[in-house]
Amino acid sequence: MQIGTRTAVLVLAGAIAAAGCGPRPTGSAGTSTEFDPPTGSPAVAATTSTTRGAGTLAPEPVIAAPTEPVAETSTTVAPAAPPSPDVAVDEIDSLLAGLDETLAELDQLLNQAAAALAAEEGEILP
Amino acid sequence: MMKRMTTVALAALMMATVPGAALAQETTTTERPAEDRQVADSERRAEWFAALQTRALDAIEKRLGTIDDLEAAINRSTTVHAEHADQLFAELRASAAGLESLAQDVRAAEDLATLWELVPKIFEDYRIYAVVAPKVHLVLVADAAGAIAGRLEQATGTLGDALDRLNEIGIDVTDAEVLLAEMKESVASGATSAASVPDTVLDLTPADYPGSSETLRSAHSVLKSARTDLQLAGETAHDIVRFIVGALGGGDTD
Repeated sequence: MQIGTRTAVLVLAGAIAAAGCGPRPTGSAGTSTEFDPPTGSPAVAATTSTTRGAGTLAPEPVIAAPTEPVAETSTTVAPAAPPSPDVAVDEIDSLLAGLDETLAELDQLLNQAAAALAAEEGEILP
Repeated sequence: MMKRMTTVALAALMMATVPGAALAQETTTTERPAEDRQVADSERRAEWFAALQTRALDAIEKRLGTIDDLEAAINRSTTVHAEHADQLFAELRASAAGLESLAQDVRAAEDLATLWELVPKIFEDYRIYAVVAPKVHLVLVADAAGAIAGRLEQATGTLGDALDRLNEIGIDVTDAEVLLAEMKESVASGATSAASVPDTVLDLTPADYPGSSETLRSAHSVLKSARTDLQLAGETAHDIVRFIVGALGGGDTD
């Protein structure tokens, strides 16, 4: 029940913050329209990028104060609307996109280091 | 009587002069080969000197080329730490200057003994292949691994945020939290291993050889371990992403 309330508030505030209006949540956890495709709408994405530092949790005023008046909430915390997991997925995909390639480059560097370790000074004097 | 005395004198003269003549003849026949040998030895020593001088200069040139390659590798790296690059550049430039000076001495050498003293310096004073080159490569690997660890650490924060959001809307993220904890552990292990290498190898000098070889090999093993940790962290991150997408009712992210 508590979760349902929190979800409703979350979605409502998210909708207000993102577009001023929007579809209503379905009411079941995890199926909120806030998280339905298409995701990462420009408004949400912009809000996320301007309010989050790398690896830091964004402020959660909407969730933390569900009983506050909507008007006050919308004027004070709208720019800090919590990022949706979809946005996080996009962000993490971006972070991980070149990981395989980077690890392959790391392998190449490791091989070069191994070759350097195997090299010998050589001899000149007979 | 007179005739007998003359015969004795001639005999005595023969006794006295024949061995002398034989000796003189023998001396002539043995001196010429000795002179020939001396000339041949001298020519051989000159050829040997020239060959050794050439080989020494080639060895120096080869090392100067390697130093150029190492400097280029550092310049190409987008992840090497500035202070590490500075230290490596300084050492490479000092080595290059020393080798160029040594090359001048080798060119100026006029006898084999001088050359004989100079040649070992090419190896002993610089250890370009035994110490310097491995050190440069290992530091580049370490800093590259550190950069990957940094990206993955950032990813753990983002994933943690996403899991928090899911948890807040009532989705059970227990399994994903376990994965995230494993990922953080792998990232931390990889980062710690990678960060330990520069401090271990940067201060190695040619004088540390041959003991330095074991230190360098050990550092390489540490970096291989770090690479394994980082790969594991990346795979775990993908697992967590799949969990999130699945929780949102989406398809595969691959």
